[in-house]
Order: sequence, then C-alpha cells, then structure tokens
Amino acid sequence: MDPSTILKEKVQNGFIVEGLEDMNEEYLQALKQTLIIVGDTELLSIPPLLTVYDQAPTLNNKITALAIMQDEIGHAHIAYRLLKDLGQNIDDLLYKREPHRWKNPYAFDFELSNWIELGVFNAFFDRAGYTLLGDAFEYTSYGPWKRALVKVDKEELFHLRNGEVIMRTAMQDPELREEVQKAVDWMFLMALEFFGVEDRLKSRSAQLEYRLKGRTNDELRQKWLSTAVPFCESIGVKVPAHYDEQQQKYVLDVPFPCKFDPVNKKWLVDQPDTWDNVIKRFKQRGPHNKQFVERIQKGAKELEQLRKDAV
Amino acid sequence: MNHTQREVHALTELLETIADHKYVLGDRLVEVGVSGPNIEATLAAIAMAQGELGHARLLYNWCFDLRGIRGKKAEIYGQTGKAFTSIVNVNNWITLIAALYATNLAIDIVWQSFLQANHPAVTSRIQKLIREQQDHLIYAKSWAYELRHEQGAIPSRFAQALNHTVNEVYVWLTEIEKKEELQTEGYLPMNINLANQFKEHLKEVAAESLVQMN
Amino acid sequence: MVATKRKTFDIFARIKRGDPLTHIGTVEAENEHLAKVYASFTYDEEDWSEMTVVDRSQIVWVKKPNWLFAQKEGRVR
Repeated sequence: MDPSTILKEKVQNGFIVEGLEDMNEEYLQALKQTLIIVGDTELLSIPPLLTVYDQAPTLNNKITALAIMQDEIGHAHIAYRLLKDLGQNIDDLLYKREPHRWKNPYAFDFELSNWIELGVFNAFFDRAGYTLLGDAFEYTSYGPWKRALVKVDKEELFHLRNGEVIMRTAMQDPELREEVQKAVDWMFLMALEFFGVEDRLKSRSAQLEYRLKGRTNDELRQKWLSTAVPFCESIGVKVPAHYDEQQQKYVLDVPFPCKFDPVNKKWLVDQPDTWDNVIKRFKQRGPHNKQFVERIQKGAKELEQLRKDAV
Repeated sequence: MNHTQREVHALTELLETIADHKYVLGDRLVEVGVSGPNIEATLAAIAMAQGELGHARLLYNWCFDLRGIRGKKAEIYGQTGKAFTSIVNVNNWITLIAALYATNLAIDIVWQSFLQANHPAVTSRIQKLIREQQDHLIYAKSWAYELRHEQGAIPSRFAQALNHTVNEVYVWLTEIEKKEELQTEGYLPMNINLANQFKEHLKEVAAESLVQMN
Repeated sequence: MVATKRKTFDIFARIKRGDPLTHIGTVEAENEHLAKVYASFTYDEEDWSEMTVVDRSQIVWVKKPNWLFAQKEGRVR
C-alpha cells in the first residue's frame, strides 16, 4: 500500500500523528496550510478590533476587549509555534510576508465603525472560529494541535459570549438598535463565508481524508447557523436565514453567495454570485489588508532597519 | 488647608500622578505594543496593558476615596495631565521599552518606600499592585538590556529614548523627596533618597550614566 | 534578521495538587527571565498551582514514538 493510503486508513481509525515521521508530504502540506490559516486569522483579528478599541463605553469594556485580544494572539502563537516545529521559518512568515499573501478571512480586512460592530465581530466571527476550531479539537489527527486546542476552545466561547452581551445590551437601547441591525446586515453573510465553498463544489478534501477536520464546510456552516440564528431571533435582530422544518436545516433567505460592495459594506442581494467570483474577491483583498499587516510588522521592520543603520 | 488635609492632598497628588503614568502606559502598550518585534513580546504587551489600566483605575478610585467622594465612582476616560511627556510621546518599540522600564522602576521604588514606612492607610492597598507589577519590571528590564546590547543604531536610539524618560523620572523622584508632608505624616520614611536608588538600579542595564546630575 | 538568538522553552504546568504535570506549550525567548514572563502571560487560561519553563536544548529524550514512516533525508525536526 502507498503511504497515502496507509496514513488515511490509520487516521480514520483513530491513529494520532505525533511527528513529522508519521506524515507523508500531502499530510504535512495540508496541516501547514491549515495552521497558517488559523494563525493568520487569529493574529489579523487584532487590527480591526483596535480600530474601535478607543470607543469602549467604559474602562471595564476596554480591559475586557484587551483580554480577548490577548487570547487571540495566544491562539495565533499556538498555530505558529506548531508550524515552527514542522520546519516553517516563523520570522519570515510573520515579518517578511507581503500583506496580500496572508490567509486571514476577507472580513478582517475592514475597519469597524463603532463599538457595536466589535460586539457583532465577537458574536459572529468568534463563533465561526469556535465552530471551526471546536471541530478540529474534536477530530484532528495531529496530536500536538489537539492538545493545544484545549485552551483555545475554552477562550473562544468566552469571546462569543462577550459579543452576545454587547449585542443584547445594545438592543435594549432604542438609540442603538439600528446600529446593531446595520452591523448584522453586513457581518452575518461575512461570517458564513468563513466556512468556504459549498460541499457540492469540492472534489475532494485532504483535510477530511487526513482527519484534520471532521465536518464538511456545509455541516460547519449549519452548526454556526444553529446557534447564531436563535440568538439573533431572541434579541430581536433580523437575519437573512431561518430554520426550514421540511428540510430540517437552516436555509438562507437571500442568494448565497451574492455580490458585495466593499466601499459601502453592503450585500447586493439582488445579484447572486458564484464561488469562483467570491474567491476572486477574496484575492483582491479588503480595503485595509495592507495597513493591518503593516501594523503587525512595524516593530520588527523598524528594528531590522536600525540594525543596518550606522551608529 | 489644615495639617491633615495638606498631607492627604500630597498623598492624593502622588497617587494620581502614578495613576496617570499607568493609564498612559497602558494605552501605549496597546497602540505600540501590538506592533511588537515578535509574538511573545506583543502578547505580553497587551497583557501588561490590562494590568496597567487596572492599576490606574484602582489608584484613581483610591484618590476619589481620599477626596471624600462616596458612592459610585466616575468613569475613567483619560489621564489628569500629570503623566510623563515621554510616555505620552511613545511612538515605537524603542520609546515604549524606555518608558516602560524607567517608569515602572521609578514607581516600584516609590511603592517599596511606602512599604518601608508601613502606614496603615497605605500598605494594604499597594501590596497587590507591587506583586502584579513585578513581571512588568522583569520584562522591561530584560528588554532594556537587550536593546542596550543590540546592533547598529539601536543601542544609541535606546539610550536617547531612555535619557528622556530618565530625566523626567529624576525630577519627579526629587520632588517627592522634597514633599515633607509625606514624611511627617508617615506615608514615606524620613530622609528618603529615591533618586539615588533609581540611579543605582539603572546599573542593571548599564544606563546609570544617562542620569544628569544637577 | 534577528539579533540575539532566541531559544525555545517548553512549559510544563499543573492545575491543582494531584493533577499530572503536563506539557502545555512553548515560548521563544532570549533568556530564561523573559521565558518565565512570557510563559506566565501566554498561558493564563488556568490558575495553575505550578508552572515551569525548560530550555528545550536541555531536554534529553529517552524514547520517541515508533514512527509510521522511516525518517526521510533532509527533514527538519
């Protein structure tokens, strides 16, 4: 049997990969890709949050937001140190990579407009993170990552609850209800895009075959909807999705994917789109991709330049 | 102001100044710290920012108590204007470490002096602050040492940045020494020499030469 | 690109008395003082009863897993 078949069979039967010598090249590449996406997603969540950090209503809120940011950096750190143990040069990855090559979600290339959007960011995007990483925690065949995800799982739940508190509180204030709805209007579908292309369009998935994830994209999207929609309904926020009793699943009330206007942060629900075009939009990056990556890289680059300068 | 009012006023001014330093430091640890040169240093900066802001809040609330303001405390939205200019002007990693190191060192020296005097109204309030600040000091000292021994223009740039904060610290510590009310009331020990203690500590990062003697 | 060579430190911690001492992660640092501080800030998800950092170069492996595939030439570990 070829190594690929051996390994796939073993991991499907519960074998835990503990080192490079347990992997074939395909597993290693799939794992590295996954970890780079996770690391970039966690780290690049910080710059958008910082765009409204100063608008925290109270000092307590500010300190809570910082605690969440600290957790995110910690989660990024986990992914990057695992990559280092797999032979990746992390200094180059973090401080020499061009902005457009980072693998964070398109949603993170946007500034937030107000504190409410920070709440929706936590409630929706951290929920997506919780769903994805929770699945990895449950299923992943890579031992070092499985063990590291204990901390992540615990902390992401706290983040999404923080978002829910901000949203629930705001919905009780007549002056803020409209802000919540406006935020949800652009961030709900953004969150759904985190889970990738529809299953019917994917030919095969190395991640599933090697048990780097357990559920498919659509299954994970459903999982997200199964808590996000009831929550939004419970606080009186309108969302473009509902539970269909006949199909026994959550369905969207608008075409998905559909076109997005990045300037006005608005979904063009009368213009359905293809996943190919969505990927093209992702590759074009959002408006603040460059600025956000540069913010992360600033200190390292400044010191590097000063090292070369004469005394 | 009567006798006790003058002493309490001096204490309140001192505590509020420390609160201001910590509030602005907390803000800079976020805005500049997020651009740290590696992930561990960045994470630690955000963690310490929470600590500094938390301490600032405790100190501002203590000042409200000393001023006799009872009931729900006002929300904190900014410093009262007494923070070192060199902290306010922190705009990159080097100036951040310089400000973090010199300020935390100075505050620790002041807290240790308070502990020495052991005034009942003070000791129990500052023990937690001292304990929680120790990791910040270790971090700042390590980074100060690293930057002092780096390559190219870094050591001289760091020396320059440290010079700015050290001068402000030195003036501040000297002013505290001269506030007799703090000593007569027993908040601080008699004949304290905070500025010299600070200068001695600078030797740990080979920076004692930066203090300018009047 | 970086000046001082940073070392890898492995972190072991125990949640409460009676629990195993578990490997919970790693940090990179220039020295053990920074390693201690970094470990403390990074791994604050529990109120640990104990935590220790160990320079990875000081760890001596007694036994490693029976690997599924023979070690290939040129693989970095």
